[in-house]
Amino acid sequence: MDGKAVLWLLCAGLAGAATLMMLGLVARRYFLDRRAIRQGRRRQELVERVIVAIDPLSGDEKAPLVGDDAGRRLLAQIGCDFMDLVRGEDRRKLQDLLEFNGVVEMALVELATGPVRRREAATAVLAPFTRQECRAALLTSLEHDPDPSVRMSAAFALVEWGGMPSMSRLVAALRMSEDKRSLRLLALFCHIAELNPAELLDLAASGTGPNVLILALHALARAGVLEALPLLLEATSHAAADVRAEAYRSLARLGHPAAEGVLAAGLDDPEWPVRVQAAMCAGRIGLVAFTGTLVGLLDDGEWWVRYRAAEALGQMGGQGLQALNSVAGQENAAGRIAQLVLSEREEAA
Amino acid sequence: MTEMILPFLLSLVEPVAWFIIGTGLAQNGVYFLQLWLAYRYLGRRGYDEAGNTLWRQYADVTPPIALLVPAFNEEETIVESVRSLLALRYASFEVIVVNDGSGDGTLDALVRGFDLAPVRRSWDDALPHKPIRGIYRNPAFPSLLVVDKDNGGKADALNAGINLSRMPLFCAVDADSVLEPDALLRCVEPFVDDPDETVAVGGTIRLANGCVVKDGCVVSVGLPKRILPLLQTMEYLRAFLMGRLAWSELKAVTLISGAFGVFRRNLAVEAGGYSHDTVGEDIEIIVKIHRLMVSRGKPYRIQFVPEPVCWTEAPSSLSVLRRQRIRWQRGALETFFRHRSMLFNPRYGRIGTLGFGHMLLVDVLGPPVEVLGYLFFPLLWWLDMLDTDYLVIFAALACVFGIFISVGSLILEELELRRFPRARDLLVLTGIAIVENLGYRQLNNIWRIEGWWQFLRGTKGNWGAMTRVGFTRG
Amino acid sequence: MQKTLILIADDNPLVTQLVSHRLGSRGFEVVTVGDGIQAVAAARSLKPSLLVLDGMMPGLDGFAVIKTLKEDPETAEIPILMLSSLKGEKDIVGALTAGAADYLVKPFIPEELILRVKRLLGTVAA
Repeated sequence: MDGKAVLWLLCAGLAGAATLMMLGLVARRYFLDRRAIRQGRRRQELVERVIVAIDPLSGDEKAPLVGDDAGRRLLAQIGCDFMDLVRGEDRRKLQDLLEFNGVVEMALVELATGPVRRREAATAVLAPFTRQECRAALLTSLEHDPDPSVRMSAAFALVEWGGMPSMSRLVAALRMSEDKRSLRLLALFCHIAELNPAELLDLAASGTGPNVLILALHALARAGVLEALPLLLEATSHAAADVRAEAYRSLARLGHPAAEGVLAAGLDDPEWPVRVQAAMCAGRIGLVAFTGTLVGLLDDGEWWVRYRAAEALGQMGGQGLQALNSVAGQENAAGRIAQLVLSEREEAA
Repeated sequence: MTEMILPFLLSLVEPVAWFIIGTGLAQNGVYFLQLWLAYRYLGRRGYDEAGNTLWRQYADVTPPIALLVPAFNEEETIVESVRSLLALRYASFEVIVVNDGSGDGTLDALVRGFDLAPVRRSWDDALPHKPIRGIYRNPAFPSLLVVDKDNGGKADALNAGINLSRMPLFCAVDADSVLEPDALLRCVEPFVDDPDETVAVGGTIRLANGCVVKDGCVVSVGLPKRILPLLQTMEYLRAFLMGRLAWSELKAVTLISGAFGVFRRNLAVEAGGYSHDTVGEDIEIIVKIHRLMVSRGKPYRIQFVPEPVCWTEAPSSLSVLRRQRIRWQRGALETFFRHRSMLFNPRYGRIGTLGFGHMLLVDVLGPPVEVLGYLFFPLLWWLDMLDTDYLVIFAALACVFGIFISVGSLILEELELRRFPRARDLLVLTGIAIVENLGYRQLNNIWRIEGWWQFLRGTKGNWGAMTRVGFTRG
Repeated sequence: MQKTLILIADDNPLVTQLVSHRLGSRGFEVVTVGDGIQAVAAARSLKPSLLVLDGMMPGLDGFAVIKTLKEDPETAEIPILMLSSLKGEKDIVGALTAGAADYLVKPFIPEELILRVKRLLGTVAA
């Protein structure tokens, strides 16, 4: 019968396909394992030779270690790993070693023409090399690579190791106009805030979207850039609650007493996350003028506000602590939170 | 009388047969689709060795995470587990162990093991739970907090942990599972990439049976020696590589295993936390989060991380396994029927059509229809209404489809993750892919029918020593 | 003459290989281990003259190793040089308070490590 034959064929086809695929996989695995063993041995051997070659005392960084592309790739990997581990003379010798063995040339080619993974790896290899060609290649990748992760790692390479383009080019290259709050971007901003804060200040002042603004403010405060103060004060009255909350968090981090002028608004903000950050800010900076307002927040409807307000009073010491102690006698939400925070303080001491 | 009934029954035979066949075909169709989606996802993502780079670049900006560890009668192992959790590689995290009124010395073991003293701590009363009896810590272990509370079940313990945590993210883990040292780092990646839209992240869970575990770390991966855990290894591969990744790709994840999942604290609180009145609290919370996010009308994502982050010991006795599967089945049914208004409801988009549609097909209809098939076709054959050839062909097709799906998952594992160290392991697993269709699969379906039965009778649940992993097929 | 024994504990094999080569080629005898638990065990059994210790390791991290070794009178005297990628104030102050004799942040200058090791051993002149 025809129907039966078709069904039998289907059965046999599926079973055959499954068997063939598994056989293929096992064979593939066998070869991969053997290659992995060979590569592992080769890598180990190379690591040992690299360690000897970059020893400032006796090493010869011009020693030819590899002659093929597979070897160069291994060496590139090892080089990146060591770049994160050593500084000083060892690192300089390591860079020379990579140059002499053609690793840099290979990375330049792969950055331009390789598949995504290779391109991403190439940005990491090229990052520490300051010669013009490498910087230019990274810049090209930053602006023209179709893959966002390659662009991002090119940005890291340029920011961390020099050659960072202007902020406006960086914004355009990383498509920041989409206003996504990625923490990768924050990590990049943190580097920029350390190395080149003026650029970041310009970006924050340029009326960018709230998400990018939050990241920029956060990075500036973390790096302790006092010039960000006017921007932060202005941001405390931003339309978006997230921005206001970040402004108070960053003011707390900067610890500047100028926060006093905007704090009353923050402690009275309709959004609780803003009140939380404002309370923490008052405590961090020790603005005793707000003792009364903070005591008022001890029966806020939101636990986080109550808790942070009590914590802030405790941090202020003196007057704040006194207020906390007197509230602790009460039989209500404010009294409870005051008692608990006081006992937490005792235990921590 | 008989003259009336017999023709009626006979007229039913054909539609019933086609219904069974149709359901089976639909299920297999869904599996093939999942395989394809999972393959597409992994192919795009590529093999990832970025652990170290990640750490270097993002350690400073990773959000703090509270690890919530509900513990019930874990006296023997709890100190060791907590020690290995404290040694995880992550910038900022705290471990909150919630002793859920254990009858043994779990609390004593912790107090002695870490030299803890009772403290007072203020907490957010956002979620309901049984009274807390005491909170313990030791200043020498600043990131460890132990909570002792009245017994209330796993969901209750997790709710208490959520209330006590002061970090933006929390990660629910089982006390007895072993985490990869960079588990948190990997699972926080989606939060790092897109902190606004990511609301929860699940991690891939594998079996610790057969692996060498030393000081709370898996040092070498291997296959279990015994048949029952081996069969479950295959199920875990299918569930995580094919099932979860496909749903993640489609943005319709309906389950993050209770053994490891990272959530945004404030969203979990707003969704009402874990539910007490179900044995499937881990499915339930995801569905609740979906409902919350849909009602807000903002885009959101629940993601899955394909790399194994968590290792768990699978039951190696039939009776324990049976209880586990009955429980899973009941939990799925409880959630499905509680939220049945979401099924095919356009308001819930993909989660209503794909997520709930899949639950309907695989969890709700699947087991009874398949068991009906086991009885129905042999009966027809016995009544001489079905050719022997066809009976054999149907059986063979069911098996071959099953094998093909399993092999498909193995291919994914081998091409993208390659966690099994030896080529021989692949052969063993291929064997398992065949063997599981001859008895184990049928047994599983019978257990699931038991789960259905318990669900219908409304049997009450107790503390779940079992963690759901949620397989796409019984 | 008996060589001075130095124990190196780091989960990254590149670090153990590099440090043991550098110290080995400058006349020290070196033993390496890959995690915190082995580090404690080796410190107890070998009684090294100095321990070069990583911060983040599986099993037992560097800070816990310091605490364990300092609590045990047998090992309390072993000077510990922390070599860690953790560069936070809390980490550095924490390690030094717990009893580490010195702290170097990765990426480090290997020559500097050698000099600090020698100084801790009181053999700068050697």
